[in-house]
Parts: sequence; structure tokens; C-alpha cells
Amino acid sequence: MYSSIIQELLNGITLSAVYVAIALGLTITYGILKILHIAHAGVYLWGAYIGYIAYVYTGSVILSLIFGALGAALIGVAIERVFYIPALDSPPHITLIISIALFTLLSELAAKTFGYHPKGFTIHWPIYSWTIGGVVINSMQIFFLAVVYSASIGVWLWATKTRMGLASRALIQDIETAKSMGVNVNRLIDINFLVGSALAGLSGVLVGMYYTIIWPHMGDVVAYKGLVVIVLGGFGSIIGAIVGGLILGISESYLIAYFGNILPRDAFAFLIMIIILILRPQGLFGRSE
Amino acid sequence: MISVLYLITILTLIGIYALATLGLNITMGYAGQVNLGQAAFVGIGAFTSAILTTSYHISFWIALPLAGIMAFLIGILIGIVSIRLKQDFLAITTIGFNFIVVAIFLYYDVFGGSFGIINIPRPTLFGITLKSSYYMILVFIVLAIAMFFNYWMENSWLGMALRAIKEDEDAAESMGIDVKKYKIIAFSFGAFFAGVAGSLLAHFKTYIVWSDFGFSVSIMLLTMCILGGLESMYGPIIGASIVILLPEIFRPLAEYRLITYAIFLIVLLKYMPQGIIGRGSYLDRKIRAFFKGEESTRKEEDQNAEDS
Amino acid sequence: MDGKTKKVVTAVIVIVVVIAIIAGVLAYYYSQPSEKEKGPIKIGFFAPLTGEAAADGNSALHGAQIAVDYINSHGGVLGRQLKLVYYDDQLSADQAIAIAHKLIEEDQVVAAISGSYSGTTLAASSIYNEEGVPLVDAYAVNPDITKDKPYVFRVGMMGVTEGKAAGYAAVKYFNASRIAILYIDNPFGVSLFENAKAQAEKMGASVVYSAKFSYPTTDFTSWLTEAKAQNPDLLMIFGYYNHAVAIKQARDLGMNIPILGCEGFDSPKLMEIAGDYANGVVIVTDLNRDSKKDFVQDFLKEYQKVAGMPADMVAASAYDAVLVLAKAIEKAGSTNPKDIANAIRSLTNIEGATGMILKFTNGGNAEKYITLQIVKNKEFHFYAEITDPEIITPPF
Repeated sequence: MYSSIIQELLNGITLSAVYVAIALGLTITYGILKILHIAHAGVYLWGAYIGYIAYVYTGSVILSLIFGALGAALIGVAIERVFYIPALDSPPHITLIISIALFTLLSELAAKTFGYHPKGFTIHWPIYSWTIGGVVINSMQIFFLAVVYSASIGVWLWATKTRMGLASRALIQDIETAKSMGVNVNRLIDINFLVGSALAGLSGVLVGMYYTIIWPHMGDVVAYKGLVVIVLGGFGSIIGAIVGGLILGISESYLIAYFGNILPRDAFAFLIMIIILILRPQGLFGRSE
Repeated sequence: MISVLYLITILTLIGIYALATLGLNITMGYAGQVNLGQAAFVGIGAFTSAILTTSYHISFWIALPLAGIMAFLIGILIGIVSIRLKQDFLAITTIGFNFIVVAIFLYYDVFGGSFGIINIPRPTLFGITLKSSYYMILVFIVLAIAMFFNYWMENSWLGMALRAIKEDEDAAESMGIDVKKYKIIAFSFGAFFAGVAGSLLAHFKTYIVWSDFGFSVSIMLLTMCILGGLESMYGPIIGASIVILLPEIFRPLAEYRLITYAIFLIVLLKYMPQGIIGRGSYLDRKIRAFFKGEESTRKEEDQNAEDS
Repeated sequence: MDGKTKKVVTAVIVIVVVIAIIAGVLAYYYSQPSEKEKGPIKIGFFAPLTGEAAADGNSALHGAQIAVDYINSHGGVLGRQLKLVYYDDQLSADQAIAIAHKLIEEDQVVAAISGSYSGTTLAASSIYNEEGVPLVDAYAVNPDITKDKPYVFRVGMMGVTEGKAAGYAAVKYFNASRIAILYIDNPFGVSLFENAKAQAEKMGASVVYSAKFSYPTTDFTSWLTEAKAQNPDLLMIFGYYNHAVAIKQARDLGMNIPILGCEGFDSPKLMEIAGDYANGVVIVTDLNRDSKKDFVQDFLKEYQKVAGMPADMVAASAYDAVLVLAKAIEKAGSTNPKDIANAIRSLTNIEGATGMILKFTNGGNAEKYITLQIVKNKEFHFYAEITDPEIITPPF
């Protein structure tokens, strides 16, 4: 009994890594353009497929992660340049629908290119597992958590310590001021989409490897789950996305374990989000106006 | 060769979804509040009507308005939540609302769970069962009534107040308009039409299941609303026609259908962000000129103001 | 009414009237039934070819098309060729209804096949029934699809029989007494769960844990942890091969008990996704890979060629749906829909890709033997066959 409570915590933390991975990229791209970037989930799934192809040809996990991230980064920047920048003056619902249509397009193109059926993504690393006081943990889980959370720390350091990151933060506050400070706005937007999309690709490959499956509609769930996380964190906050992901993963894990017959997982996630928004309309880490 | 029942089916669906979109247009177009969960209200209306007519054997003619009222009441609740939230927060909250509502349909047996509700009766009038073309006529009569309401609203104090709020919330507040109240009204009227549309859909299909009202349907309604054009009473009909007819026209493309549709949508929105007949679009200006009401002159003034 | 209101009223009335006139004129022109005795015999087909369920929809389409090609290359039916008219329903009930009218009235098919899921198939089934065109459901499990519909048939297993078989197998072959069940929250999973539970309890076992999951789930650890805490001696997973990762997660959590799956696992993708973890898993299914019949081997070979992967249950079921229709048309000696429906009811012992269909019940459901297959070295092998009439007879 006691051990299963701890085990659920570990399950929740592992699950949170999926959410953190997707939300980090989303929070960066949202912060910069204030577009609900649903197509981010399309970038994520293409990252997963590119990583998979790289793994099939090279047999290297590291190369797979690198190629997945690079491929996704290019797709993300292309979307930003071709579709978002020209539509910046349109009302938000126009860019939202364009983004949703892009996501559909990316999913369907993936289905046509790689096949409708899911692909097994089993890597050849041996898996070791340890039982400590009835709680089971395995090497793949540790690898997954380690990569996601070190990437998160990296992004947080980038955003708060480097010149580029700080300039991006300034841009998030106010585009006009940033321009007047002589910041190259377009280049900065590119870089943010590059970083955000690379994270999406990385998480796509990691999630694919960890759950040993990728499929053309693997983005469907994360498309809106990622939004829940960044809303919880209060749009555009990196620490918020990490904490929001942890809250979502852990609470989901316990809720479906103990109250799974009341509501399904995703409904719980949204319920948590709505309750928090009723209490704090600006999200957990958002600044009130 | 086109078959008539096929055509009637398509037209009936256009009518029903145009009605739900008309509601969405009140919430989004006139009041400027994003609603990405309109399908949930359609579902609430559909299940209300289905349960009333199958389990309680209540007449369709009573169930139809009750379905609207049920959606209206829940619309008030969501409206109350919505007034606290800013644009993007509201958008995602309504997505969440949609997911929670369909999850309840799926998890509770009153709504038939994963099996849905079957044998929903077709309405009868003077002993005639309303199906195919009769049902289509019923749908279009309801749609016409809704359009009259929309027309009345556009020119009433309600429409004026909503427009004022959309332009500038603070200014409207200072003019003595109760912003919160009107936002809730907009939400609940939008929901009412969706509920009625849901009832019509349930009795048309005679079988409904939770997945008929998922988030993707909300996206479809939103697309109809925006393609047709916001703030226009004809927009929803045009939008619904395009969104339902296009996939039918693209049918021979089989598995390339969704890809073609997505590309079409992106291109259309890129070059016609106001939709086909939305406020400020080319057609809208032409039509207003045709009716030559005061509306058109005001619109032209708006246009001039924007141009200068 | 002021002038402007009048104009709006006129506009609305004009729209309604124009639509009514178009409908009326078309009704006049197209109400006469046309001659359909020449040319190929048209069979309608609908399935989700795009969107989230496209994998199964395309599998079903390939399966059906291979059957049509096979029959055509072997002389066709009644000396005529078969032609499959297929449409994409995007898993939308609205579209399935529109397609039903399109297939029946526009394409004038003599019968139709559903390669789609329960929701779409059920929504469309009443139209085929009302119009008197036989519909053969390949694999959708919702009992209401065939219930009280004399023109609707099902070649796949019903959820009721498959669930019963799972409960029966658990107790009979694995001596299970404490069963944990994870099932998908759609009609397939719910039917299997309810009937497996009832059957197992009838035979003295108890269900100590159950939980339902949704289609896109990849993380089952929360439920598995709770299931493990109840010390079950058998785990049932009622989902699709997409959920094969649940097997891996159960093993990772140290659940070394027998795992019983269902026909949703019946795909080589199971082994691709679960890897070595799939070994030892037993599934309840009806796909007959070991059949020596020419056409079954031809099907398995052709499918590999067309789809680039080995055949699964969905493809085989769609294949059988075509086979049943072809046999029924041949037997009826005509393409009259009513004769075809009657002929289906009188067919017996049809050997198809999903095993032997003994007969169709009055309710239109196929009665067939159920097999258990075990995964060994990443391949399915015969494990046992269930022939007990109490288990395999559909409820109606």
C-alpha cells in the first residue's frame, strides 16, 4: 500500500517529463509571438519520425536525438517564417485556425510519408531495473527524466543568463521597446522558434523511445495538453512550464489511480486547469495586471 | 448523377451546423469572446433532447426548446467563468470545457456511455413523420427564425452594447454598460442556438454518441464561423456550406482529402481574413450597399477611417 | 415593418425557397430507378481513410480490395466483375450517413461493407436497413449495429462472444482466480470487459481490479501500479496493438503474471512495439494464419505486397466481408438486395481469412470458432481453440 503511493509519485514524475518537454518549447514560442501554436504538436511528431529514421539508419540514440531536434527546428522556423510572420496583424482566431490547419496538414503528411500504422521505436539499450522498498525504477526512466530535465535547466539558463535569452525576454515584454533598443527582432523570433522547435523534436524522439511507439497522430494529445501546462504556468514563463508540467503529471497520476472511474485523464487535466484559473485567472506564475 | 436524398442529407447538415455557427457568431462575432467549445453546447442540447424523448417519452416539440434552454443555462455558467479570463486563457478554458463535457457523456450511463443513445424518435406533425425533405424544411424554418432573431439583435440595444464592448471594454463600462452582464448574455444566447442545433441533429441522425461532439467539431464550427465571416447573419450559412460541401467535393481525392482541405483553408484565410461575407469583407460592403441602409454608410465611414 | 426589414425577410425567404426548388427539381429528375443489370456489380465501402483512425481504415480497404481482385481474377460473380466503390468517412457519423445515401442512390450499389468503427457504422446502419440494401459490418462490435436490422450483418466477432471467450480462457487455461482488467473506453473495450468479467465470475474467479483508458493512452503505469497492489494472478488488456506498451510497463513494474489480450492485439505491430516483452502473451482472436487454403495464403501474401506489412485482423475481416457478399450473390443468383440478404442468412461453413464462419444467426451475426494464439519468438502460434457453443454462439 505504502509502496504503491510512492510508485504513483514516480509514475507521475515520469509522466510530467512528457508534459514539461512539450510545454517548454511551446512556452518559448508563445511568449515571443503570442500565437496559440497548435502546430507545435505537428513539429513534435515530425521530430519523432525524423529521429526514428535517423535511428533506423545509424543505430545511435544520440544521433537520433540530434537529428530529431534539428529536423524539428527547421520545420518550426519554416512555419514561423511562412505562416506566422505574415499573419501577425490578423486577429488571434485567424492564426489559431491556420495553426490548427497546419497541424492537420503535418499529421496527414506524416501519415502519407511514413504510413498510417504506428511504428515500434525500440532502442537496443539493455534495460536495468531496481526495486527499492517495493518501488520499481528502470534505467530508461532515469535516462528519459535526465535528458528532459537537463534540457529544461539548459533552456532556463539560456533564457535568464545569456544575452540572447535576455533580449528575448525583453521582446516578450514589448516588441516596440525591443525594436527601439536596436534588437534585431526577426532574428530573435527565428532563434526562439529554433530553440522551441528543437525542444519539441527532442521531446518527440524521447517520448517515442520511452513509450516505444510513434504514430502520425501522436501529437493529438500533446497539442492541447501542452496548452494546459503553459496556462497552469501562466503563459510564457519557463519556470511556470516546468512546475505546471510537474503538477499536471503528478496530480493526473494520483487522480486516475484513485478516481479513474469518475472522469478520464484528460478531463481531470482540464478540470485542474479550470479550477486554478478560477482561483488565479493569470495562471500560477503569471503576473496579474 | 446526384441523388436527392444525399443532397437533402447534406443540406440538412448545413442547416443544422449553420444554426450552431450562428450562435457562435453571437459569442465570437458580436461579443468578441473566443469560444472553442461550441460543440459541447451542441452536445448538451442533443443529449437533453435525446434523453427526454427516449427515456421520458416527451414530445420533440417540447424537447427542442428545452434542449436550447439547457444549453442556455450551462452557457450562463461558462459565461460567468469567462468574464474573469483574458483572450487566450478563455480560449483554452473553453477547449477544456469541451473535453470535460464529452468525457461526462462518455463516462456516465445516462448518456449511453461509449455506446451512445439509439432509436431517437423522428418528430411527427399532424400525423406525418418528418424525415428527409420534411425534416430539411423544419431545419431551415428554425434557421430562418434564428436569423430573424440575429437580425433583430444586430440592430437592438443588445447588439449595440455588444459592439461597444468589443470595440473598447473600458469605454463601454464608462458609458454605463454592464460589461459582465452582456458578456454572459452573449455566451448564453450563443449556447442556446447550439443547443437547439444539437436537438435537431439528434433527431436527424436518430443515434448520437459522445464522440459526435468532440473538440474537432468545435474547430469545425469555428472554421465555419470565420470562413463565412464574423458579424454577419449570412456568414454562418456560407461558412457551413463551404466546410460541409468542400470535403464532399474533394471526396474523389480519397486519402488526400484532408491534406487538400487543410491547404485550401490556409490559403483562404491567408487571403481573406475577414471571411467570405464577414464585416469589412468585399462582399459585405457590396451587400450593404445593395440594402442601402444607414448600415452601409456607417460601414463605409469605418472603412474610410481605417484607410486614412 | 420598415423597408429594410422587408428586404431581409425577402432575402431569407428567397434562400429557403431556392433550396427547396433545387431539391424538388432534382427529386423529379432522379427519382426513377435506373437500369443496373449491366457492367460490374458495385459494392459500396466506407472507412476512415484519413484522420486519426486512418490506419485501420486503410487496412480494411486493402483487405477488401484484395478480395475483390481475387474474385475478379477467378471469374467474378455471376459472370460479372465486382467493383468496390469506396469513400472516406473520417470517422464522422455525419459523413457516414451522407455516404450511405450516396452509395445507395447515386452509385446504386447492391450491397455495402463497413470498414469503420462502431459509432459511424451504427449511425449508417439504419439507413441501409431502411433502404433495404445489405450492409456487412467487418469488425465494429457494438451489438446495436445488427440488432433488429434484417439487412445488416456482421462477420467479425461480437464483443459479447469475445469477452466471454476471454473470461472462459482465463479460468480454463490459466486457472486464474484473481483477475485484473485494463480496457479501452469504447464499445469494443466495454463489451469485452463486461462479458469477460461475467464469464470469469460465473466460473468462480473474481475481478480484483479494473480500469478503463482512452485510445491515445501511452502511459498505463498508474493503473498497473494499483492493479499490482491487488496481487492478481492474470492480467487482461483489452485494447489495440497501439497499447502494446502496457505489456512492457506491466513487466517493468514486476508483474510476472500471464497476460491475456484480444483481437485488437492481433497484428505483427504488437511485437514491433512491445519487442521481446510480447513473448508469452496470449490473445483471443479469430484470424486464421495457419490455414492451408489457397485464397487465405494468397491474401496474406498480397496484403504484404500492397500494404508493406503483414495482414492484421481488420484487413482479414474486411476481406471476409467481401467474400461473404460474393458467395451470397452467387447463391442468390441475382443482385437483388433482398435476395442477397436472404442468401447471406442461408450460407454455412464459409472458410475465410478470419477462420470458419459456421453460419449467420437470425440477428445477422457470424457464428465462428474462436482461437487463442500465443506469442513465441515474436510470432503468433496456435494455442487453443474454443468451440464450446455456450461461448461462441452470438446472443442474437
